[in-house]
Amino acid sequence: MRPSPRTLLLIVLASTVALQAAALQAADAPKITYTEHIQPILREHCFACHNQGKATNDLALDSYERLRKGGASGPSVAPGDPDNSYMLSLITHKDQPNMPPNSGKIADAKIELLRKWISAGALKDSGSKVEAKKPSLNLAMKSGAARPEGPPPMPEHLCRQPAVYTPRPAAITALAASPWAPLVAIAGQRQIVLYNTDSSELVGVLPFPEGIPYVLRFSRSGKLLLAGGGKAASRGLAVVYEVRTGKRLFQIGDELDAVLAADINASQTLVALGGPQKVVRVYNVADGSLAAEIRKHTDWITAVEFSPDGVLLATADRAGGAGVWEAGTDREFYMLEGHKMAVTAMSWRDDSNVLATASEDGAVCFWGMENGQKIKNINAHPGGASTIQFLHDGRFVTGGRDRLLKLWSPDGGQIRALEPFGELVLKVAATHDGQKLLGGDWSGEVRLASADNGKILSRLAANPPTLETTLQSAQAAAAQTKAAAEQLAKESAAAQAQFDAAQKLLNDKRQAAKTAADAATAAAQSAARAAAEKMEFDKSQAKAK
Amino acid sequence: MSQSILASFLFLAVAASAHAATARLDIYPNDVQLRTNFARQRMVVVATRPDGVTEDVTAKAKISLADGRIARIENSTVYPTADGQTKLQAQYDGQTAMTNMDVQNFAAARPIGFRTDVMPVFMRAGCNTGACHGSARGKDGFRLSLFGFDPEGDHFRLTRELGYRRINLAQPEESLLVQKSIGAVPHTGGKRFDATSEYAKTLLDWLQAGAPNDASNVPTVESVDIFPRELLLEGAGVKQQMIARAHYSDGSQRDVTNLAVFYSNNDNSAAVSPDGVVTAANRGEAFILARFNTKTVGSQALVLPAGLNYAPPTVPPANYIDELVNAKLQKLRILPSDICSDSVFLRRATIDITGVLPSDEEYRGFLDDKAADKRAKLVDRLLSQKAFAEIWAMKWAELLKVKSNLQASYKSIYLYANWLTEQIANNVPLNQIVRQLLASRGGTFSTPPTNFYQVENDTLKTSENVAQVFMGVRVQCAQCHNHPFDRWTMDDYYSFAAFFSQIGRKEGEDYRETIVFNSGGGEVNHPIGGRAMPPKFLGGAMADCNGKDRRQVLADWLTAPDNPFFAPSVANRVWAHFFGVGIVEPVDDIRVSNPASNPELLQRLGRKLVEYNYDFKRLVRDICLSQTYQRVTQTTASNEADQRNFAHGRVRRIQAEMLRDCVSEVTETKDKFRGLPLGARAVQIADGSTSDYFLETFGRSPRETVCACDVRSEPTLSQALHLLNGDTVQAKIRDGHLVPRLLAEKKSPEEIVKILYVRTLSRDPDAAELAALKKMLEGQPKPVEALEDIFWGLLNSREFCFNH
Repeated sequence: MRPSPRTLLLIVLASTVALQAAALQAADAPKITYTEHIQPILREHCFACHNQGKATNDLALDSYERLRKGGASGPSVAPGDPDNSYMLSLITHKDQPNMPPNSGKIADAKIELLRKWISAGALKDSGSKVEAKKPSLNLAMKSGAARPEGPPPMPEHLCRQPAVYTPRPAAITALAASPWAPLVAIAGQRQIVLYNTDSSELVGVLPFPEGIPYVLRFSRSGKLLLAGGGKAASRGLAVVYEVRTGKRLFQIGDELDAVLAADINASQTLVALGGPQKVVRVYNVADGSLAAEIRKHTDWITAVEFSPDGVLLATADRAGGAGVWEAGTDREFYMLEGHKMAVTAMSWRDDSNVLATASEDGAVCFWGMENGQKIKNINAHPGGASTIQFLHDGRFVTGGRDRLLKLWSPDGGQIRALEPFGELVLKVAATHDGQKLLGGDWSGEVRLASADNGKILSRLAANPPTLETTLQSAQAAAAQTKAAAEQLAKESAAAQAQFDAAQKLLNDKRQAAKTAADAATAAAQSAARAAAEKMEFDKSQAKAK
Repeated sequence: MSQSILASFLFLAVAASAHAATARLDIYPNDVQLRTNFARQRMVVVATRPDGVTEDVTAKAKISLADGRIARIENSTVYPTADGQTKLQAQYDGQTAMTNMDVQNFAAARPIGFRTDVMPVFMRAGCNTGACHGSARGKDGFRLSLFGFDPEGDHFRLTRELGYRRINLAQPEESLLVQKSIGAVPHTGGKRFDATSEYAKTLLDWLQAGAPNDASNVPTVESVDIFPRELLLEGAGVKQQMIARAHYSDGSQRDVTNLAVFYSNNDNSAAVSPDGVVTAANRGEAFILARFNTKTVGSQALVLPAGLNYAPPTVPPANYIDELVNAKLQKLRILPSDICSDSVFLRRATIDITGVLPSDEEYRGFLDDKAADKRAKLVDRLLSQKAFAEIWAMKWAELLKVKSNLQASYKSIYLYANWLTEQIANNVPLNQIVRQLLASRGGTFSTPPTNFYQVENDTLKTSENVAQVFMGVRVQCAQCHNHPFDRWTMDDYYSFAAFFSQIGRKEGEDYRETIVFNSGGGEVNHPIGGRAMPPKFLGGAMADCNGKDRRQVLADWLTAPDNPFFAPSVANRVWAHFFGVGIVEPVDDIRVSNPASNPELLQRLGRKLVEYNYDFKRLVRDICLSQTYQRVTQTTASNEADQRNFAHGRVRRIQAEMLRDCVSEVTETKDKFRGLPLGARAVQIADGSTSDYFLETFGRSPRETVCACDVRSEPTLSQALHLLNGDTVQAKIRDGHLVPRLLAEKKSPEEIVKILYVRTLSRDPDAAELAALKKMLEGQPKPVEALEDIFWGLLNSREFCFNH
């Protein structure tokens, strides 16, 4: 039965109204603006101290322009970036001094509104447009360190006998992935262990008789491996190996305590190192002479890295101090202020424009080399971030006390985290092609995982067994498989014999059956002929009468 | 001829004493339980001579096991070899001693534990002391909690704080923790122990096991024994091995001689090596302490010189005080000084009990009195005077910080002081006074004892003050870490402070008055972990404060007759007033490592105070009538070195307020202090902030803290100068007109001199003094000036300013 015209009309009207309502809603999605939404909140809670007449700490919030200008502590909001907006962190009590002071926290709904307002660009009024975002971390990446010519530098026929075998590995003190080859170096006890990251096979062991390596770095070309370390409280130095041959090319430095941080510059002319002596020493590779000493640090040197373009040297210490210097000199370029607790690791992005630092306060910070200012701050690992490494494409990988290894996109969003390690993650790396991630933890476990889905591909031993053990177990495995093969061969032969016997029986039976069938056929044929002859005879007899 | 006989006699005498018989033999410990194959027990055998001298005869005694299968002995240490029970016997010089031994589970292994095995190594090796890694910032970034108050944090810092540095689980012997301790690499703290020592082995075993943390319920140390408990060593160089044994919460025992930290509080007499070997040195007494975990225990060690000639005195003791003091003196082989003369006693007692000097009449009367019990009668008369209550009210006011300031108004302080004086003058038992103070509520005007909570607002400080004033115990150290030399832990500290966390204060109608009430809510949180601490009596059990005013619960506990802290500490303070030094000194620092010079005396006085229902007047009477109190201050050859055992009297400077009153009294002048009428005495001043130059110079307590040390009696240049040139003495002599009055009464200069001597020094001048002064007076045209000069001289003399 068709609906009456009246009903139809109603339906149409209703849907029109609905459509209009939807359209209205879409058009009406209110912009959160300073004049309409934010000013009343600030008036109630903040103007008493932060107005243009009284501007406590030079901050006035009663005018949009003054608000954007900020105060003595810097800008109050970062449009589009609520996590980095100082005002928001003070009113959420994430930072001190809590605002408003001596009062309870502002209502959550109001804080949420402020957060949304900042996210949307901190608009002034309904006529404002969102400002273009300041250049942030997410620049299109142009590779800063160029890939060298020739095949990827891999070790060729290195000895794989470990210098020391220990049943249990120690905490992973250093981990480095070659920038251009599928190779990873892992620090062990008096040795450096090299694995092929494509096959997870052990490809070599480099002896480090001076003690334990606490820092491993491939040169930017991938052809050299620098190992810094030594014996704690006794001796420290840096050794450079040629990756292809495993040869020790030279050693540098003579510290009174183990070297904890070291790097070699891209042109392979300078080596910088440092440790508990609180001094960074930069040496000339050519003759081992001291090029510069940096004495500005007040605590143990925990990280040292030359920028990929070789212009700058970044250093950091256990008290949270970090600085950038003109490479090869002790002239300060920038002091990077901000970390309150120890800086545990640093990494340069390939374009040499951004330096990342990881700290025990859980944050990973990014510093721009245009002005030495902090670009971004991520609370990467609550409890303490231990390590950070940039990949060639601008992604970066971090690890921390929360036992997680995390992969991040170039603009600071977390892509994924691996399933938790058994202990705190100490060192991380990523393979040259950005396809695989490596992480080492306090228990000595080193994992190789896929960057695409986080699946663990293999575990690499920092304490590989001795060649004797490998030989023994290989021999035992060979003997075992040989025995198994022999057993199977025997069984197969037996089975074959059985099969042959059965086959013969079958043939015999078939033959007998065929013979019987033939006989039956012949008999039947002769019976039929006899019957036919009888019938004919009978017919002829009947005819004859 | 006679000389050789004498010589041989002496030789025999010496020889005889060298082989004096053993009166008893002791073997320590006297019961031993060994569990698991880890257990062992060091043994010590001590022989005691008839005269009480002890000797370590472990090496000389014959030690044997009844059943040799159960255990074996090596180097004086017993190791279990099979389950079972047996006896260990020691034989020496005709005496025997026995120990019961019980071995169970001897084959069982005992896994190494962080708290049970590794932490004690840090304590023993000195790693976590305040001078080293136990300091607030640690050393070069490596911090351990002071004396191990935070094992969880220590485990984290050792293993994971710098995950690459301090330990190496692949090659444990390469761990920096081990390398530095054994001196294999440079260590500012030096080599702490040998690579072959059991301490290194403990660390290595722990590292080889993977540096594990403990499971949650690890047995805790409940108590520690130290043996032997008393030593009496004769001769310098004599040695005694000490042993320490711990009792755990799971019932097990453990020989911790190798893990305890030993120290002596008097190395001059007896020093102790880190391994617990005491070596006697100079004559004196020392307390040998052993600390393990959070427990500190001690043994008394007395050292006598060899070849001492001593015969105990034969004078019978006057009362229990003398019995106990004499017993200690006998142990020390010290002879006490003689009893003082009447005039000395009169002056001493009058100053100590009433804070003034005896008048001429009192002096003559006492000296002329022939009654046998005149000293007792004098003491009773003095005790009945109001001045006695005023002095003690003043002494308590010093401890209770009775002083007006921005917090406490003058009016409330005035009322507070008056209330205190009234209570003491009315003989209210001390425990009742204290109970009223602690549980007080109401307005500071209407209920003066509430001022106790107005002069101190902070919860933690209030609890520290209560412990220090009423228990004589300083728990301040335990606010931040376990007390280094005493039994108090942070837990003890915060759970005691919990009694004072529910005090409410508000302003009264009069803005100067504060209303103190029980707020019923508020907790104290432990700084590590933040848990709320339920109230627990200091050194006692958990308190049931459900629905009650916590302060009332505390007050009841503190003032109960069986409370072990209150009565002895009060008795000690009373004692210190009369002797210048307490049985425990300082009087508000009773701790294990600061033991009483005579523990039996202290306990007895405490019990007596309870017996007297906290009427300390009766205790004062006992003290003043003892021979100990009445000894002269002159020393003898036997006791000249004694400072703490009351073998002789002590010269003590008269306290500021009483000195002022004495000066006013002898010069017949009147002082005007705020809040008091003209002629009142300085001991009656209610408010701590009312003072003047004289009183401050002579060390009047500023009443800023509850410490007994706020009252100062050290000599200063200002004091000497003020007496010499200041206006107190000179002005008072002049204004009092004593000398002109006496001259007007037609007394001769010689008579006046005698009067002045009696007034100021409570004695007549002797012949030499009189002759010299007469000579000085001769030919003086104005005797007034000369006599006033003599008066001035007397007031400036030490004999006047000191109680002797």
